[in-house]
Amino acid sequence: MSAIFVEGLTKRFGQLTAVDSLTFTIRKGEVFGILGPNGAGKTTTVRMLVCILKPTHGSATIAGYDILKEPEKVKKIIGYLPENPSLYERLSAVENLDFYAELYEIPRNVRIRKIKELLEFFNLSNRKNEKVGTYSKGMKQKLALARALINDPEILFLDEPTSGLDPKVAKTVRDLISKLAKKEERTIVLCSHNLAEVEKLCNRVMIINRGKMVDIGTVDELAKTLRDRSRCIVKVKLEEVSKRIIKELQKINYVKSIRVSGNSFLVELEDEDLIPEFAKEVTKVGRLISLNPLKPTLEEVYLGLVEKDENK
Amino acid sequence: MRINKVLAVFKKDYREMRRSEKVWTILIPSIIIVIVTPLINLLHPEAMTPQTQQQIEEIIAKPPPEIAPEIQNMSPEQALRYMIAIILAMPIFTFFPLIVSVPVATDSFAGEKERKTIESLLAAPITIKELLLGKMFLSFSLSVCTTWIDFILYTLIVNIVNYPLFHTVMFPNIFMILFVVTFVPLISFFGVSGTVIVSARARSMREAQQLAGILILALIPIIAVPLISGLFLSKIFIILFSLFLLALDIILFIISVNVFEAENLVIFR
Repeated sequence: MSAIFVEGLTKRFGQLTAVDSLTFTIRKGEVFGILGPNGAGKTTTVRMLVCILKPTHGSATIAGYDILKEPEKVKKIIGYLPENPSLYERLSAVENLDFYAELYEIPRNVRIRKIKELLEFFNLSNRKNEKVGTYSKGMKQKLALARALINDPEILFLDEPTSGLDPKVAKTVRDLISKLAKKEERTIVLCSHNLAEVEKLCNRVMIINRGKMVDIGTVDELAKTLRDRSRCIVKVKLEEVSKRIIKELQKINYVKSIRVSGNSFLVELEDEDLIPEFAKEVTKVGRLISLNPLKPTLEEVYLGLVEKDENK
Repeated sequence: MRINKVLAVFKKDYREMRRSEKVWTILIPSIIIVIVTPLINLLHPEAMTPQTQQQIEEIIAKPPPEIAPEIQNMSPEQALRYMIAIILAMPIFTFFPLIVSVPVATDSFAGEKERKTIESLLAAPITIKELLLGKMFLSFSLSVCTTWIDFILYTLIVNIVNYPLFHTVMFPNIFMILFVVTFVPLISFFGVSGTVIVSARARSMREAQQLAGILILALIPIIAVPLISGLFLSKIFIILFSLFLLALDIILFIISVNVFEAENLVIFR
């Protein structure tokens, strides 16, 4: 079942097309990453999905509710953490959360318990009555996350959730995101520049550039797209590597290059499909210990796809 | 329209405003002016500008029909003090609602935009109209309450200062009560609606304050002319002018509801 369904979503500001005909679906319980360079249209896309901006064209449904016809219902079931913590600095943490809980019409007794739980979880209880203006950047980010969770949202939109957090707290947040998606089946839309984080957390990723979708899929699928379009590298480990073996392998017509490092070497092949054949050739010339295709990191995939799009 | 959400915004803004030093820099001087102005002018009428003195003398010599019965039995000194109290009160309580409402409303609307707190608020389940009303309600009620409290203070000071001469409560008269009851809310509302309109488009609080200042300047001639000419000493004029302000408020409110859109608040054009 799709939690988010987006069709032809477009946003124009005068002559500028910030988001151009985006179409995608996000399944329930999925952690979905949106990647793109600055100004690619990530924030505008999210702002349309959380009903802050109205699309110029196209439509979207969030848990079955239309963002144009039923914005109030959409807002009730989502949590949103914008890029900026967006907190009231003259108010305390409790007052910030209490205000939002009132807007979500959470009954008073539930509200008090929920605020207490969230502040304890994010380790903010000891300063809960102090003005937020006196908090560190990390504390503000934690409080903003707590606010996004105040209504137990079905769907969470998180823009740079670990920005400004120390590694320990960032891990807590990542664990929380995983838990919310896996155990509680919440859908999470994550915008981040931290590619390692996206790779670790997201089931699928959408890369956008200049408002348009460049590609969408799992990290492996995106890597395959990139490989199909460019190169395939395998790491080969032999019991013993000699100049003779390297020379023999270099004679193979689909081997583009070989780089030796100790008793292993990196081989660039023309195509991924040639790996089994190449493995046979290797066993003919030496004692093979391992042969593994090198999986590009999300960063390599991302940079490769964006660069390709820029060169269009 | 859900009143609980309007009140939630009102309560939140009130808490924020209470902790803002800026608000106290507006409210405290207004109280000082209300206390000091009657003290100086009533105890030392010669401290007034020659124009004001001349204006008061002209009114006493040829009082408007509705004032004449009130001053006909007064001594010249009593009449002078009485007219000073009225003539001073009118501009004070005409412009105070604007002076208070505009900065508070600017902080509430453009401030939310400038401090980037508006984005999560717009993603919360509250309609733009509920948000707008919650915010307008605070600026409006603060402005009206402050001005009325100032008026009570002014009344106390005027009566205390004049008691040795009148031996009775000499202020306010029916004009002043009518003036404060009708004018203060109408002018406050004008200031708040005008600020909403400019804040929705302004890039920063400073820009919103400057634009709101222009709006006030535009209102000054409309109010100052009848004030100087003594037209406000007529019940009919006060009622007619109030109706004019009411119409102006309704127009501004309709415009402010329409310009106060989520898109205008998060996108700087």
